[in-house]
Amino acid sequence: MSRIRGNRTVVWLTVGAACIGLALWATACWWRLEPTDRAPEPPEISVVPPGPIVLRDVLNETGITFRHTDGSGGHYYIVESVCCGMATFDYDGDGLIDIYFLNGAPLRGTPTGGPPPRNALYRNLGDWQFVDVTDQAGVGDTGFGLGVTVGDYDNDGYPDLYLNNFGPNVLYHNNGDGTFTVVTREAGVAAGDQVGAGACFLDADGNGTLDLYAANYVDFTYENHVPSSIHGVPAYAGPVDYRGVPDVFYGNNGDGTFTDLSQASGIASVATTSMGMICADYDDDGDTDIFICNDVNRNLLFQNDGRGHFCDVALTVGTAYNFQGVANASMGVDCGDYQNDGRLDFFMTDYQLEFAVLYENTGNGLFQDVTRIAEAGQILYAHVNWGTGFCDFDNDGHRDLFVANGHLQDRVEQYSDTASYRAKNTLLRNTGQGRFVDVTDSSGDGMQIKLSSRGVALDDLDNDGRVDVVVLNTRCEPSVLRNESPTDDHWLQIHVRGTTTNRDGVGARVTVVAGDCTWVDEVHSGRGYQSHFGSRLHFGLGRHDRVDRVEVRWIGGGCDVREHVATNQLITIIETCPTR
Amino acid sequence: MRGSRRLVYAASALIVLAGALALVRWQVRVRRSEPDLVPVAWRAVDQLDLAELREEALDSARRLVRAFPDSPHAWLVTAKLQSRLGATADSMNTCRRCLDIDPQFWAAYHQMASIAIGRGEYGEAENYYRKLVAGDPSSEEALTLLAETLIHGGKLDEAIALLESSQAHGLAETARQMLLGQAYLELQKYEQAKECFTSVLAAAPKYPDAWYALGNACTRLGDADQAKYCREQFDRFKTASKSAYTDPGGVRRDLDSMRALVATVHQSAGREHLRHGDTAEAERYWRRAAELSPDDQDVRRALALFYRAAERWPEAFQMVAELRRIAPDQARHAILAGSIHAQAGQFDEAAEAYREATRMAPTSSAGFAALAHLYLLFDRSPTEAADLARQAVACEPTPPNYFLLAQTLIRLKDPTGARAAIEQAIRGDPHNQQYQSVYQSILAGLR
Repeated sequence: MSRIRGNRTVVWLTVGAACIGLALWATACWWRLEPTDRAPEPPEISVVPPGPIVLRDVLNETGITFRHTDGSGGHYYIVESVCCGMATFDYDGDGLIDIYFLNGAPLRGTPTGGPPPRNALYRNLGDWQFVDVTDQAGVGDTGFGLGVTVGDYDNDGYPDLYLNNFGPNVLYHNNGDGTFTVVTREAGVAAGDQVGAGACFLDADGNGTLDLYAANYVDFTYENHVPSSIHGVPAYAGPVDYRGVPDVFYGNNGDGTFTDLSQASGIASVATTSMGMICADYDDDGDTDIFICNDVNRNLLFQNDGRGHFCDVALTVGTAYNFQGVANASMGVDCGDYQNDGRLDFFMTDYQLEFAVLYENTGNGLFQDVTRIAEAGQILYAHVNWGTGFCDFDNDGHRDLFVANGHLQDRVEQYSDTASYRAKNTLLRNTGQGRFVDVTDSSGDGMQIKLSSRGVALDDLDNDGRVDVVVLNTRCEPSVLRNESPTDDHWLQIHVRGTTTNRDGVGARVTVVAGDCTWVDEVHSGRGYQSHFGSRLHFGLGRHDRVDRVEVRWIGGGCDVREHVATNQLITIIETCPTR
Repeated sequence: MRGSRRLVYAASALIVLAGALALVRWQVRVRRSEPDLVPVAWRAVDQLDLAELREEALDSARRLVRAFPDSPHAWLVTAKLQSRLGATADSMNTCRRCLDIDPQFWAAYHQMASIAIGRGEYGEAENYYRKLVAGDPSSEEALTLLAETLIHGGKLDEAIALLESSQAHGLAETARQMLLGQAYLELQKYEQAKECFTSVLAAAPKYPDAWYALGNACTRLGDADQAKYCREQFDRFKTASKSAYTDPGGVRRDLDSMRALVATVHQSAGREHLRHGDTAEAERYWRRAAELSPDDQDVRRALALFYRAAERWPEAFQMVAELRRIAPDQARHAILAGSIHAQAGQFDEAAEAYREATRMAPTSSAGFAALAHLYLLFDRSPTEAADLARQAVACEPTPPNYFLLAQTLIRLKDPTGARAAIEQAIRGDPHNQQYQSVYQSILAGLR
């Protein structure tokens, strides 16, 4: 009995204590007015059944140990926030796509110690094994990397590498034996001591050699650094705190050297805040034009007159602004024919609280922002987006979109509960009806990684006919996503090789016809967010198990045609038809 | 024995509970009386860093809800501050609290919708705007925002239905046509879109957004030359507001922005105190807001009107002087100065201020109308008053200006002219009771 009585005592005391606790809790709630620093934890994401695209996180199986640094030491220099792009290309010609990561470098005031951070080249050994060959290849630049592109500028059959740095740029000549040599000074492409951005090789004048475009961001130096804050939280200054600077255009002299033609070509007429860029023949007139994203300034679209003279037509053709006539904080850009109408469209990533922009090529030399119609941007509104690429991940014949996300302000959570430094990337699947749907959550664990991503490269790393993804994440390890999409659809990969035109076939337009379907693509050097990828063109063909015709239109107008081509293979088309 | 022990335990628990509740109530009373109504001593603005400014804003919002815990307006100040400081989840909760107090406090829905849009949640924003429109159907802003949200969310047919409904006829026609055009554009009805944008440009030929939108429609209609022309026109008219590089603002910009935020909170606090009749506190908060935000015109106008009402002329003129320093070319400040002189009984000074307004904005009726009012108020030359009213009508033939003309003509003993003028006023605003009343008396006089 006494135990029961004792228990009752405990019960009553417990009830009393609970009441007090409740009362105190209520008081605390009554008083709570101040905003909390952090939003409540989001609910657990329920398991979503896998969709038609599956990207599996395989980094730990690859042997890749690269870790990115942005060189930060608490000073919040603007260059840290935009660092950096990356490249995928077959540097040794063994038929396997290799990976090159840019890296930052300790900035002024950042403690140093140990070996300096450097760029890293990983050779693809096959079977998802990669080995760090940076030292052997001699491409471990320790400058502050921002942009990179790949192109065989001397037509010797081996792809060369150009780095657009904060500080002197670097041109690596590929020696063809697995090593590279720095030839920046001899080639005359150092581009001074600037804040670099995207870079592209292109044959601007159709003379068979690759010229070089190096974009520049802002006029930042350590001396004019603008300390900044948001609500008192240290933050990176933005492009409005600095002046834009002109980009640089080098004409290829054909002897391994270049001449600065920035003024003569018309490029230097504009000083603005360039970021990602891509070269493409938007008006299908046989020469290569240049699209440049500008941060909080209108974009540029340099129309080529065919002789390497450029005129900015972005305003009149409709790519300068978004659908409302607003200059977005444009970051990265890719081009591709998203509705298989034979015309190259542009997709551009942007800052938080802006729609990414899908510019549809309307075919009369004009573009229109169709983001909302195509549902290609709303989902990205809450994020800062960077790298991007059009790619048919499930080979259904329609190009999907991959977008890298992550805020540039590393303390954004301290003053906003709607933004995050680390974010999932986004995968938009092309429905084939002119619209995209967000399939991020159903596309495998590779799409659930939450880091702060920057550059992206899309290439078929295991030659299985499904395009894989590599993402450079700032301040940490990269993501390597193996495409395991359960598709039986067919595909064709095409590698082009110029003989009288540039050896890489940069600028060549490839048309694939199967039944009543036609796909077009173009060989690019430099794309996305200050990155390079996709030199080998990939066509998803859907249910078509034979290709009727492949046509390659080389720079200058010459055409090579293959008919009755089997699918599910990589073919190489060598230029045989003389240029008109 | 057992029963009595049980009672003792129960009583003990109740006593403890009662004690706790008493403690809470005491705390509430202490916090309600002491703090909150004792004016806070603010530090000099230039000595405040960002953290202190932030704390001042939070403190102002806290004090406001303690002073007026049953006022949704007071809670909304907190909700807006929370949102501006990035705590949107807290802000949403505070908005819900506003609605608990007053389910018809539509401004809370506005705030909630803004947060939803910032998160990219257009469906949620639409729900809030629909509630806002249902609660306040005449609100132009609510209708516009709902239509925009529908368009952004891809609900184009619904957007068009809303914009073509009678409800939307209260919207300014250019705004309505602009939104309609955007919806048609998205629906790929390019001819209709073109018509809408063309009509906007007929009314506002220098409206850059309409030029850009028309360019988009022309692109789709295959009219490349017209599209390019439209985009050039857009660029021409947009140039004035387009420049990315401003200055290396950095931390100073953050400080200025935080000061402006604190000033906004104080302004709202001042309005709430005034609503509750506490003019001294209202004035204190507004003065602090003016101190924090040296170029803020709104708070200075509020203070000027406040001093005018209190007949504190030197302080009222001091505010006008500050307004003129900030925006020397704005005629409305001259009109404000005139109104203060007029209330102070200074006819000549008031007339001079109003004349200055007419010189600054000769195509606006405001200065002429104010002068005509002044002549009526001081019972000066009715002929001159009528001339001034006619000038006001010539500038802007609005119902109020016709009504003013009617009043001057009555004073001039010209009932026929007055009748014609008041009929014009009524034609423009047929439900205005004041116009009807004056009209009836004119008719009676004519009989």
